[in-house]
Amino acid sequence: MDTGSLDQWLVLALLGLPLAGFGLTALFGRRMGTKAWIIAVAAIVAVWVAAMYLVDQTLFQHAYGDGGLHFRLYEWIPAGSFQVDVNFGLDALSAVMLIVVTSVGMLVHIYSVGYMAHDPGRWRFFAYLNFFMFSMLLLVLADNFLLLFVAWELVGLSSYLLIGFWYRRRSAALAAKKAFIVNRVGDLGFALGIMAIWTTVGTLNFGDVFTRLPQLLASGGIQEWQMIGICLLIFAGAVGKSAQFPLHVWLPDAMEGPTPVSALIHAATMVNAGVYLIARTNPLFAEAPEALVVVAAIGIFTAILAASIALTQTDIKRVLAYSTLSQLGYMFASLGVGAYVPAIFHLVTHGFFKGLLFLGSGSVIHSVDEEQDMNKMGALWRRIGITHVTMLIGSLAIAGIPPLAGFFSKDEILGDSFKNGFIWVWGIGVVVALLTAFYMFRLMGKTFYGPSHVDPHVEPHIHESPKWMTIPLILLAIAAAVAGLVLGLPFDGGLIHQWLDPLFSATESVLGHGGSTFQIAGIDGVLILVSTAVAAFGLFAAWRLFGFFGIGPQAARVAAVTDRFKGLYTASKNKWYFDDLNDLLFVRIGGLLAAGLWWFDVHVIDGTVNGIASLTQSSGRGLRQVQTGHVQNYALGIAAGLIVIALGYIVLVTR
Amino acid sequence: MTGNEILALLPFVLVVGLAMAIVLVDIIAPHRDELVTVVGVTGLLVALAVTVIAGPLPSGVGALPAGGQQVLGGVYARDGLTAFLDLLFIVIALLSLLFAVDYLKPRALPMAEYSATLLFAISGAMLLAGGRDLLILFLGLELLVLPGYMLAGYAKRDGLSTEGAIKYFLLGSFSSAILLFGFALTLGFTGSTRIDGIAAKLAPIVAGQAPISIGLAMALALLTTGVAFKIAAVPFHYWTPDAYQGSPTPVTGYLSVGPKVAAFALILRLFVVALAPLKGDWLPVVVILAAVTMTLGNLVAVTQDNIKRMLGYSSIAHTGYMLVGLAAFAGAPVGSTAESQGLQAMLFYFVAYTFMNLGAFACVAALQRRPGVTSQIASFAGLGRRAPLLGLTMTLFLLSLTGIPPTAGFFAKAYVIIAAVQTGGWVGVLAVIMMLNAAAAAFYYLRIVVYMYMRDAPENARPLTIGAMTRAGLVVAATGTIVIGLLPPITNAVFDMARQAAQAVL
Repeated sequence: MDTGSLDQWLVLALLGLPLAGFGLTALFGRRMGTKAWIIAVAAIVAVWVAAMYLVDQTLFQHAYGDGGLHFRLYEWIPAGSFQVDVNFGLDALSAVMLIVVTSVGMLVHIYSVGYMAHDPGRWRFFAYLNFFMFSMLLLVLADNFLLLFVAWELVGLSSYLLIGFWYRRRSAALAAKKAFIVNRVGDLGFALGIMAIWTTVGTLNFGDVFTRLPQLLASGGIQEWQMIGICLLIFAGAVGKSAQFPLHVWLPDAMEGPTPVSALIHAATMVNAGVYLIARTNPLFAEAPEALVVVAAIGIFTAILAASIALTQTDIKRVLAYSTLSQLGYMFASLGVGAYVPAIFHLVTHGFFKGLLFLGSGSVIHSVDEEQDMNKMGALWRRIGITHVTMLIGSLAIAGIPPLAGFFSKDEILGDSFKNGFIWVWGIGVVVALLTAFYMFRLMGKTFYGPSHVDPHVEPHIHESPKWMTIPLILLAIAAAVAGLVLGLPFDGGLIHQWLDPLFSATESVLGHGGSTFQIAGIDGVLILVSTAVAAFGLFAAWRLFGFFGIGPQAARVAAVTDRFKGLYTASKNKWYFDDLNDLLFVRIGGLLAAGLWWFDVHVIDGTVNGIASLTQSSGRGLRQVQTGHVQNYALGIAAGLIVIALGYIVLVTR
Repeated sequence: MTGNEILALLPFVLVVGLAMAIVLVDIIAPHRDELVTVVGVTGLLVALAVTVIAGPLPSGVGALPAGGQQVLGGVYARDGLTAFLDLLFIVIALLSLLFAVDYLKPRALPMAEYSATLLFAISGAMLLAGGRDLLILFLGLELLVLPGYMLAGYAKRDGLSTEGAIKYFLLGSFSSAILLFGFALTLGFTGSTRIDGIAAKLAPIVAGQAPISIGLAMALALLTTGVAFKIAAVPFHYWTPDAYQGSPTPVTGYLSVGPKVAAFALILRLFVVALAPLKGDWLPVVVILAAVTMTLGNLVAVTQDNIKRMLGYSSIAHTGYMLVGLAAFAGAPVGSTAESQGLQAMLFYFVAYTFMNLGAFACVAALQRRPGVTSQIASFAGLGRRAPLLGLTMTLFLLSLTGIPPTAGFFAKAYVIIAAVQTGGWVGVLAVIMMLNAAAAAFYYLRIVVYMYMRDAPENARPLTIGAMTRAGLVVAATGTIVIGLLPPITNAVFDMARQAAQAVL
């Protein structure tokens, strides 16, 4: 370390504490029985306190200036010209990420104490959870591409371990594998991107890369297509991690993991890593506007695709998973149109309300004896009051109803899309807002307000979750309710803008955006009205069809609507057949190819290999063979090798 | 003899003396395994200290001049390379002793015999490390391998062990004869048995003043075959699986590391110095040997269900990786940094390989402490839960063997690959082959990890106890594996030593 100031030690503590928590829980957690959570939760609470101090230093005290705190822990890979350090950076962007990661992380840890109370593997769960926190914090604090990539893989690993936490369940094991493999596709692109960066500028430190690559482009050192290529390769990594089309298929299956994992990793933190990555590399994307258009297109397409699937799913967690895809799509669309601050803003608010919704769904599932099918729920709102109220707040927030958090961030995204000239993004985005409100209140209706379809055996046992679970819900509900007001007001000039604008202003000016002022009585006011009206319309439609408090659902009408759009309905229910397409392409056709290779392997390679192996195999055949067989063969083999080598040398020297 | 000359020979003499002392101890107080171990470990620690004191090591450590100290009229010298390799050999001996105690005792195999034989073999290796004359090199080689045959057949009542030992002995003698023939031809064509004398005689060939004759080519072929057998390069590896599987597990661990590194010491003196002028001629052969060795080693390792055979084939693959370092040296222009980098990478690889491979075998031996535990991979089922620390240590060694950061194995592979890429040409292709191989190898290493953590232990599994000596050895090996990977000052220190060692032969 260059200097040993307290803040640097605190940054290291952010990483060290969860890592120690992981190690201790892994070693001793088993023996601690039902108390296995103590170390893990204590570590994360300490991390939260440290993180809040650092956030205060960074965002409110400006203790490190606009550039942030950067320091080197040690020289990591010293190998000639290839040198990579372990260095960390804490700037406004990292600090904002810290708020989400540590806050949601801490609440999820606390919630898990209740949720996993009866699982014999709880020590393993908490150990993994701590390990994830370490990886995720490393991801947001890393100050060079290689360290970021290591963290990138580590969060992938933790995600794999936690999706497959109930590894005896075949579907969970398969889902874990699917997530891992699909992510590798994106990571391959990311790794290639990193290599491309290194070969062009010879460094991987963020600061150096972000200044030198644009310089190289300006001086003609690299062509524009190379810059676009690097950006698209980086984006490939983001597409995998954040589950954007066409690599979106793993996230819904990832819901096989325990619900706190879905809330933490697959809604509030890890899946945002892609958004963070694109935001972090904004100086590169500024030089490649073509790549940004791709980002916007993929993002908004994923948003509408996932929203349309969410309309018809009946598994409560899957609806939320598709909703996550859709909201992430918003964030990418926002990045793509050059609206960086709104993207991060939405990341924050989404982290809170989607974390809340997932934890709420966990509480619902818990109360109806681990049932996830919404067709077997209903009329729960009187029975589990706290869960109901908190989830209602979350749903209103995600639907974009003012003054809850989602309204502010979503509105900024839509408004900036419009004002930056991406009318098509805005148009699709408005439709997505409509769908979002609709499927969320379909979920609420089916779960809480409609007639009860709960299994009669389970019905008498419905109960509110323990305090360990409801308190995090309440805290998150407060965050989901007020985060928008606190961060987003006044429009386009709230706290979040004060924090992040300096970071992105250079990029925004290169792109030529961000000049317009906010006019509440002009175009902005109109846009706000449009999106709010659309959200309200979706909400009311769902309310009419699926019920809301006293108003009963209209099953006949639902059936009629379904019948009318049968084709669309089936397609949506079958997730637009992406899994089937992948099955056809990779499982069936790929399987045939693999079978061919397998045949080759068995008959040609294994034949050769086994031939050699059996030549050397003589176990258990006794001493007799020493005289009769194999040693002579071995010696013959050596002699043959000698002859080949001798001939080789003769050819070499007489050439 | 001057003081410096005595100091130069002292580490070697100490180890030979230690071997004889152990024989004496066993005569005076028979069957005292603990005593033998204590004497052996203490003696080796003294030898280690003396080696450090003698030097020459980087940043002026050691009493001897940085350029090295010649003894006995120049047939032996203690230079940077000798010091580097001697330290490594003593560590190998130390670990091999520690790992054996707890394994041999339940089987009623005598520790004293094992220790004395092992130390004689190590003294041979140390002679090889500093040998500067073909005769000394051959003497060292035989002093290395003869005890090796004995160790392989050391469990006399075990049919497999005896069979493996006899095959090893027959084929080993065959290859020694081939090598000796190569020495004879070399002497005939150059008129010298001195390493530098041979190099001086061969230099005009490079300068284009003399053609390389068919006879010299034959000598090269014989020498290549001879050393390729000793390092177990494909297609001269046939002896390894049998010898490895049959030997008692700690012996297997030693055989997979000690003789291999020692044979590379021979290569360093013989090919890198004496035959350096012809390096353009032997480069293609080394490139092909390296490619074939790592690929075949890995391919066959994948199919093995016996862990000792699997690690045996994996050690063949590692031979291939080390050869890539040699190829990086041979392919680079004379005097270039890439030339030195190839050798450094190879030397660094030895260190990492010593810790991780001996460690992996020690874990197998610890698991098999109670006689009757088979070497089938299934024996590892549920180990992660039966013995969490042992499981974790084994995982560490396997990850390092795979080459996953931040372990020593990662940097070893990375340095070799970087050196090969810098040299470029066909050696660059070799780097690509090596990367593919490393990826393929992950399959069978990680399979063990899967067994340890994802399979349930057999119902009748009895509790595992790990002996104190094994525990101490595992701590050393694991510390070496992790520290070299994780702490840059240590990585750099090892790398500096490798650099100084490489300078000694350039």
